[in-house]
Amino acid sequence: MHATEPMPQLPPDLFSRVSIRDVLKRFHNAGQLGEHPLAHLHWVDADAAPLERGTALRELLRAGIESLRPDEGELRWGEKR
Amino acid sequence: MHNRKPDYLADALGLVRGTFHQEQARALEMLGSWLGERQLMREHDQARKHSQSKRVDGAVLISDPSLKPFLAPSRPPHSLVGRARLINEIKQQLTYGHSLALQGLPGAGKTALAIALANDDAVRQRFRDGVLWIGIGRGDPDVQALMGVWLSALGIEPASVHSMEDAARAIHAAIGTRHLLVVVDDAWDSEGALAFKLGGPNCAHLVTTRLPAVAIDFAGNRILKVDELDDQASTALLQQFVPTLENTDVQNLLHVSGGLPLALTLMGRYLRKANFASQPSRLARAIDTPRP
Repeated sequence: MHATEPMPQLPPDLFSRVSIRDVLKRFHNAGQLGEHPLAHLHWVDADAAPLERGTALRELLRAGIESLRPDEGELRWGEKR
Repeated sequence: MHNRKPDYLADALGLVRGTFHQEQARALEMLGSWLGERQLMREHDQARKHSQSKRVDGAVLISDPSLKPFLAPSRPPHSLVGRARLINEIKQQLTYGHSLALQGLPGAGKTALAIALANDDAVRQRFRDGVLWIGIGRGDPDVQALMGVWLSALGIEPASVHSMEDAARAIHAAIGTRHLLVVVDDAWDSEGALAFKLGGPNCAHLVTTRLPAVAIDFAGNRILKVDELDDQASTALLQQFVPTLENTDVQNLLHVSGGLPLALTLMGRYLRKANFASQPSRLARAIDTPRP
């Protein structure tokens, strides 16, 4: 990617806490997941079926969650914080 | 655990409820940001691919206009001496978008001058879209392969261009109205040098050559002769490398170098190495037997 090229702007509320909470509620239902606005962002072909879009979005969410997982040993369980 | 109530999850994770909700909100925001970044990168990537896939004349790919190529070598660690007046004159002429030729003896410092100019702040400001630089050299250069360097720098896939003419056309089209300085270094024949004179109306062209005929063919009467350095400038150049040189040694070395900056630079580097251990005897021996 070229750093000098301006990046396009997207509506910020699509990635808001409410939106992400909503999409995670549908995580285990690929059909419903495929109907979420986030699934229409061309992670897959524009003419893909909802199920296909949902599956692609789920994989993406899974990758995102995985990427945000803290390093091993960072969390200390068992003590109320 | 996707259908569990937050309180249950907080207990299961060993968190007080306030911390749990706070951490959950933060995690959702982070995931949202991550997805947003992915989407922007994706759109950006698609836009770039789209711009690269457009065609000119149905045959030649056009470039990514956001690229600002800078192909000139970087400035050497030692500074240029004795060329201030010449540099000002060249800068003035380049500002007007002229084609210029720097012509002079081998080792006179033509390439060093061109490098200094390409890296000059005012020149870079004037030619804000970058510098295209090519070193041709002696022999029979593969012009199409050399043009491939410029094609890549302009964001065009060299493999998509099948002849020298297509390459030249693609480069010229990609340059368009961009403000670029085009430098052809060490040209030995007019045909080779002119093949790279591909800039548009907002470009300036600079060729370095030892051959007057090439200079004339490339730049008409806008030829700037790069002469040998005078004694004062030669001394200053040598002393950049070895400030402790005795005056008699300097005079001897100037005589040997003939005021050619390349010779002075090579001698200076050699003597600096000999002087590195700060042993006067080693330096004296080195001066007696200079082997640049």
